[in-house]
Amino acid sequence: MMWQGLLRRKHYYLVMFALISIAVVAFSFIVYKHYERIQARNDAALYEYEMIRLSRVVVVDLLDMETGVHAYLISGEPTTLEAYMVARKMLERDLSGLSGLILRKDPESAGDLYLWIERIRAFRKVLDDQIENRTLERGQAIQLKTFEKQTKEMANIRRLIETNTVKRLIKVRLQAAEAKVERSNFFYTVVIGNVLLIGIVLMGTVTIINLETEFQNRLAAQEASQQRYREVTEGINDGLFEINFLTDEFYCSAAYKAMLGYGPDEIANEAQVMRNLIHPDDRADSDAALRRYMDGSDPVYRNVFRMKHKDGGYRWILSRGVGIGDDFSSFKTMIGTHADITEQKQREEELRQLYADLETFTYITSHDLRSPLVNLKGFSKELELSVTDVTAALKPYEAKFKPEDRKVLDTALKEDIPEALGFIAKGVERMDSLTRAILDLSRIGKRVFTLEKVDAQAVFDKCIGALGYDITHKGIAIDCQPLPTLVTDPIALEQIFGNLLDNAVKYLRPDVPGRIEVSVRETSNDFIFTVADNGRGIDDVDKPKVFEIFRRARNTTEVGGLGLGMAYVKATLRRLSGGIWFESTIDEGTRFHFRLPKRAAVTEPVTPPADDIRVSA
Amino acid sequence: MIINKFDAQFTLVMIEDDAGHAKLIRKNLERAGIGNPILHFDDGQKAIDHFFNNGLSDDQNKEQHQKSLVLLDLNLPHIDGYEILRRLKGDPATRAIPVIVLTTTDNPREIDRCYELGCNVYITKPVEYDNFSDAIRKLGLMLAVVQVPHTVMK
Repeated sequence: MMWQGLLRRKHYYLVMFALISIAVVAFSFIVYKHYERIQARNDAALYEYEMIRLSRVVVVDLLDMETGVHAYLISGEPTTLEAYMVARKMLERDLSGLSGLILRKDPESAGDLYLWIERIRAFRKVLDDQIENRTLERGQAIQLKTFEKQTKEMANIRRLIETNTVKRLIKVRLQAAEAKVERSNFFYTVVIGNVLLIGIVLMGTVTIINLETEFQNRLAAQEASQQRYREVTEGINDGLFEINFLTDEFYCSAAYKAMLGYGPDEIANEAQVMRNLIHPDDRADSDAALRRYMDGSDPVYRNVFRMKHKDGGYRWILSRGVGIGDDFSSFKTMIGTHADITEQKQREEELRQLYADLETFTYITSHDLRSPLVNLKGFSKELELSVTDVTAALKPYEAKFKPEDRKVLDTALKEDIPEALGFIAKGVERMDSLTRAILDLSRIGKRVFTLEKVDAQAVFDKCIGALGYDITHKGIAIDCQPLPTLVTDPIALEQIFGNLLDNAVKYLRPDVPGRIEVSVRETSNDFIFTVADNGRGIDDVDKPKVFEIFRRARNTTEVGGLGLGMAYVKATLRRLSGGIWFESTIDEGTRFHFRLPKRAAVTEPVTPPADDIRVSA
Repeated sequence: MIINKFDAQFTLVMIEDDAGHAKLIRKNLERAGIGNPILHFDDGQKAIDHFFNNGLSDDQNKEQHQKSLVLLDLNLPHIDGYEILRRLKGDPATRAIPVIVLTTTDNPREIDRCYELGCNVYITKPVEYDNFSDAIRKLGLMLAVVQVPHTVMK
């Protein structure tokens, strides 16, 4: 959860940084392009300026040359030609500078240059001609003609150069105007770029702040849940352990150690140390249970063993855990809890002891209590036989007895002794049926139920058949809904129906025609059967005792019975995961309801105490 | 019903701690016409002594065992009926002696246990005396025709 959050955050950051980088690079590129353009325009302006300057210089050179020639023409002094020669050299130099610049920067306009040079050469030729004319003292007419030619050429050149200069000046002006537009464009670019960048950075910052807040919240939630987890594990007093099977790392909580009487630092956090505390007799089994879980043959890990307490005694520990790994077969770690179940074990032991006592008790009732009954019954019978023998033996001598003796003998032999024997016999019979009843009841717990598909209708009909005589004799009306089929123990169902019907028939009111109604209701898991009669009903004071053994309602004294049936039914239903309850109104009737699962799950019969009660999943 | 006295020469060894029961069994066996000598022990130890620590030679013992039939109650002081049954059926010298368990318990588990230990017949003593007499009478009838083994397997 936490590392997933981190991963997501990391992605956000990366995307953010990538965006900002791209934006910065793009922006720089745009700015650089702008700069390049401005630079180029600058260069062009400089070039134009240089061109204008150089062409001016050329014009000045030409003027100097003209002036030098004029001076010579007027004076005729060869020294005056000095200035002309200097200007002529200067012109050569400046022209080569000019042509170099043009060829370097603007080869396309070289055509103009050649035109100029041609014209300049022609002009120079005219000047040279003038000098020659003067030197050779040619006629006035020739000199005048050449002068005209010179003036014409000079005007030509100056026009050419001026035109060019004006062209260049216009170009420079246009470029200046363009530069102005571009400057404002550049300004907008910078503004927009900055706005975008700031926007991206702002967005990124906000996202990061949001993520950071979310992360903090999540951390807080995690902290809270961990806190809760800690409180729970500490609160329930269960010890916590975590073991790493790969690295043998082991962790156990303070409660884990406290359970064995140790303080947090009193015993090492080592799996081997803890394993050594397990009772030697339990080690193999506990290892086996762990192995069964590890190899997947047990779906859950649940282990019970004894661990040595600091006080030297042993505590019963219930260990539960889950493996953590890629799949079931490759657990890397296991995390789980230890619970001290010593008290539970002691109670189990007590229960087992109680059960053993009960076993002894039922044995005593079945054998030891019945043994004396055999004697009572047997010897009273023998006594009876003896009395018969005595009576028969006395018969011949009857006449010889005195009347009062005869009366005593008669009373004793024919009334008192038979009456006494009769009471003894009845008492013994009752005692015998009571012990038998206790025995039967105790055996329900041990009976092994066999679950099978049972047609309740067939079982019910069989029970009705068994009561056939009473039903026809007393004229009882039986009204039975169709009964379902369910999975249960057939004998148990027969006993339940038998007892309920038997009671319904037995406790009808003598003066009212009997009517027994049987119905069934289905719920999601169970069938609820109802046996209703219009009999004498159960008094409110007797209601709590209905399911108690040997208890009978007081309005039933003239009907024979032990008070065992309902206790038996209740115990049987409990074993079959069912239940029984009733409603009753005195002198109106009783409705018994019993619930049976559609598919019974039998609680195991109580097994004799076993020494090894290890719970292993 | 007139039944001829059954005089086959074997002794009924009755191991029964309740003197009353012993008397009633004896009475009813007599009524059933069983006139064999009856040796009565009211204590498990005495019965064990009779079979195993009697100071007799092997031959005498063999002779004695060949003429014995045991009527055994289960609930006895000191050594109980199961132990006696186990000893009798566990020892080759006494294994062939027929043992009839006659007791008040009708618990199926105990009945099974007795048969597992090798008892030959298991009879429950009914509390109802008519049934009791009937059971003993039938036992008597059975004893009248029963043949005890004459060679005791070693």
